[in-house]
Amino acid sequence: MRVGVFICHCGNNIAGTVDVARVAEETRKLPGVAYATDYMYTCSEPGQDEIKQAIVREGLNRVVVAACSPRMHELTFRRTVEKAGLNRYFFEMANIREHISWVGEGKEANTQKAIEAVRMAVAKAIRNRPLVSSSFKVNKKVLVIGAGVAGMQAALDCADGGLETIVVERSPSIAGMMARLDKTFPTIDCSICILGPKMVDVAQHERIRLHAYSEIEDVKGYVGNYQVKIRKKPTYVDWKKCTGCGACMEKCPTKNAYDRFNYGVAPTRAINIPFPQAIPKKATIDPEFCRKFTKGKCGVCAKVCPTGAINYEMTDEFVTEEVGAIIVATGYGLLDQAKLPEYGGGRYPDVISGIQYERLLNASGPTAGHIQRPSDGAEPKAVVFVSCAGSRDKSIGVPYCSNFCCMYIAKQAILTSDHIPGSQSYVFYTDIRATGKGYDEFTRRAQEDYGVHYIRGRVSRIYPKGNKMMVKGADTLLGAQVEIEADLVVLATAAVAAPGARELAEKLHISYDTNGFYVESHPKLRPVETNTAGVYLAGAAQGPKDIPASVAQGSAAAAKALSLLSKDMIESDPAISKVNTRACTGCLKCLSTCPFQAIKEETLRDGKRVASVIETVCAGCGVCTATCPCGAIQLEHFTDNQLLAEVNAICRI
Amino acid sequence: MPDIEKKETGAKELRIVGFLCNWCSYGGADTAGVARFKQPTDLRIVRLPCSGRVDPLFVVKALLSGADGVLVSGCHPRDCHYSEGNFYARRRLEALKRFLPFIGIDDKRFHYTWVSASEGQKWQQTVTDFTRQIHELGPRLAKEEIVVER
Amino acid sequence: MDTIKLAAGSGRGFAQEVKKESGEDPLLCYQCGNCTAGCPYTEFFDYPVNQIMRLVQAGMREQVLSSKAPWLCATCETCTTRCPCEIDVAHIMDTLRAMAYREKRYTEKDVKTFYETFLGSLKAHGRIFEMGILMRYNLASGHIFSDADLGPKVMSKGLIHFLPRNIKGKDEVAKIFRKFAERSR
Repeated sequence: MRVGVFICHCGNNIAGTVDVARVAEETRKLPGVAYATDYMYTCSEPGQDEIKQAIVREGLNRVVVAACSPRMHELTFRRTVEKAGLNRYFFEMANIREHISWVGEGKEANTQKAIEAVRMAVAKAIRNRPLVSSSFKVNKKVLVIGAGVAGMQAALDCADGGLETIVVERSPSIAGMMARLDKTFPTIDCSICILGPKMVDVAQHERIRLHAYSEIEDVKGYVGNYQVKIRKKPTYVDWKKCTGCGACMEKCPTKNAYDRFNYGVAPTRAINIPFPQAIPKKATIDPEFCRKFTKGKCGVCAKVCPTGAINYEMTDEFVTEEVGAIIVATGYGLLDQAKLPEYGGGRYPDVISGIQYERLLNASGPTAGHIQRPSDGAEPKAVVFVSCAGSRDKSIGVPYCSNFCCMYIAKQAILTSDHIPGSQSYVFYTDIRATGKGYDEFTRRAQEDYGVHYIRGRVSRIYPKGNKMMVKGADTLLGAQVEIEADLVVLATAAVAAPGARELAEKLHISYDTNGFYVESHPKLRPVETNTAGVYLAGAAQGPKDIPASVAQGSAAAAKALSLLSKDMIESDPAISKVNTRACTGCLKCLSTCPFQAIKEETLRDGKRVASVIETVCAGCGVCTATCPCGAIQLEHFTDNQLLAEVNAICRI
Repeated sequence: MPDIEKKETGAKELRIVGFLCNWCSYGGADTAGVARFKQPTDLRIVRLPCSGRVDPLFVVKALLSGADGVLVSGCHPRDCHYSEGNFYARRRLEALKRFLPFIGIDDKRFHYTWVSASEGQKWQQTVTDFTRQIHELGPRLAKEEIVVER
Repeated sequence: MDTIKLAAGSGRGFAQEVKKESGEDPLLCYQCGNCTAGCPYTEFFDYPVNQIMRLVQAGMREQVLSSKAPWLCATCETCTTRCPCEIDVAHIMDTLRAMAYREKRYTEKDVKTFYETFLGSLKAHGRIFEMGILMRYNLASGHIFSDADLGPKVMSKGLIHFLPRNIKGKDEVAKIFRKFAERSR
């Protein structure tokens, strides 16, 4: 065994508090170490050349670098040793910067600790085995979950890039939140006018297939080869026959169904097309309200439908799609007003949420763009906007900022003054967060040009008084309480994780944070990747974000999927579990603990039943290795022997 | 900031082995390093892919071969890189903790916890507290009678 | 207001002192103003609640402990209920009052007198002897006939008695007072 050890100074970062020369000197005494030296910047190009030359010159067959965290440069050095002809798994790293030189208690203690860290790395390196990646074919199809603006962007980019794209959307129409907005900040563009063409593109693209009103039932497989089972929910209307004429909706006798698209601003029919620009423009029956389902008799829609598309007997239908990558763009939900009892908790009709107000402002909304307050249909003259309605509030479990409320409130206040001349808008804000391009100018315009009254403070209570809503808050800049008699109150309810976000994450094996938003692989450098290879994130599913950010992320996720699927074959990480069939007793405990279903039962030629690892599925966590009662299944690169060698290197002295 | 006992004050360094998962706790220790959160130097870290990779025997073997304390740290429950590895770790290690006294080892010498990659400060606190606890117990072989020949 | 000179660590000292005594961390406050928005007594305060919190954060010990606000706070706990940072603001106000009391800064003398007579009665009888408190407070504060007009009304309803009625565990209650006095010594 000829181990070469390189101790990095990292300028003064390590050498300042660790006696690197002594570490090298002590290391030379270790059995198996053929060469040890210290170097100013090992990761620099000359530093890497030095390693390569030493491998040849000294005939090294293992390399240890003691420097920064392996999370930083392990890959760099693996490539280095590979270029010099060694297997990349013959490389080990000792972290003497983050774990020692930057945190230790003095040069003497640090040096001693560094010597031992190197000894551990050497002990492991000696036991390292050469590992070779295997490669496997990928399925050049991509699945996009969620067809809001982020998902649509991702789907269009993937399809334009040549990938077969499957889009799954759980509501009856694609479009998401953006289709519900009236205008977009800071340009006051009509939201559906800029989104509509994109929706049509999705519908008409030759490489996009859409499953609307469908949900993900089950996900199996691994990067490059996922099998996704999709549940198509019953619409009770045969969409192949439905022409979207709307005759059923007109004649439906149930006029009090909850309008999910309009967030209940006005009732809708039990059979409906959610909005005029819906894609697909097909009708869906809501069995929660339909008389045929609640009372057992009606059938008006079946009678009036000119194509005979109504089918009350429809049930769940399952389809399985095989894809190579998955883009998750499931968006966000809104905080239930019931969590805000001090603002009425949803009991007062004239205290509404921001999204409901968007529908009141919208020309294709239930009021045709006339702002009418829900209680009596009157035009409000004094409108109060309350930002941070739930956001930045630890006490109700929303500790974060909802990102876009400051901006849409400014927009809604401006639109209010456009719609109702002579009206006065008030905005209670905690901090104005307007960091985008042209955003701050926009909030200033609301105040300077439109006379919106901004009040720095929160609202403690909203209560009815006659036909007015009393808003009691504070102006912290004045140091006083303020009270406003409002006709309408708009709450910027917090953006929360989409309903069902956690369950979907568990199906996809991706992580989510305490708030239910999906967690990216690295907050700075891998913002659209997840920890599961081949699964990418786009839009507000990862955290509240506005339209441009969602679109950018949609494109970014598409680029990731495209680059993954641009290859015909992908290489697998060889640091996965391996079964020693001679030691395996076939108890299959590993099979039941594996978080990835990566282990299957196999019968050998002599009839012995053993566990077998599906190489492409195994993620290399090692749970099976710790489970196996006879040490028969070993996680390569982290075997029992390798890890215990590290322990012995420091404990048997 | 927690005060750190300086080695110069005479306390002899003890041997603590840490098994850290690569994704959360190892990253948390890195974060503590980047933020220069000072820690006692007694701990030696073994990197693993997941806390679920920790075989309870590793802990026992470390303690029997001369370690004075063993610390295992993984991702917070429900935040495992491998989705459920740390649940297995939690169950195994809790059982181990209760089992240790039966083989003559004070269960205070073993601690398992969860530190995420962003919790540098929590890592500093964890290391500082556990090291102090081990120093209060003193060197293992000097105190406890049982010496297992291997 | 004078220019406040900020230097390294200024503010932390007093905020830490308050944190230590109350168990609540004033530095968690991000000044949303919801405490002030809900406070029913703001109009009587010299500093609204959120400013008291800011003064604590800034280490303005002198201003805080000589202000009226902690004395006038009725501990209705609306601020505590509304606080998005889960700070028990009312408890911080209590703590500030206790600090001011120890340093004999009785900014609102009547309030101090009332607390003393109230607790004195509790210590003596194990419960409140309303008539006693009334007399003592009115005498000590100098507002001799304060609320006297209400007397006949409540007395006819039997809500107030001339003689104290002790509870069974009177001595135990007194013991609580003794223990507290010992501990805070």
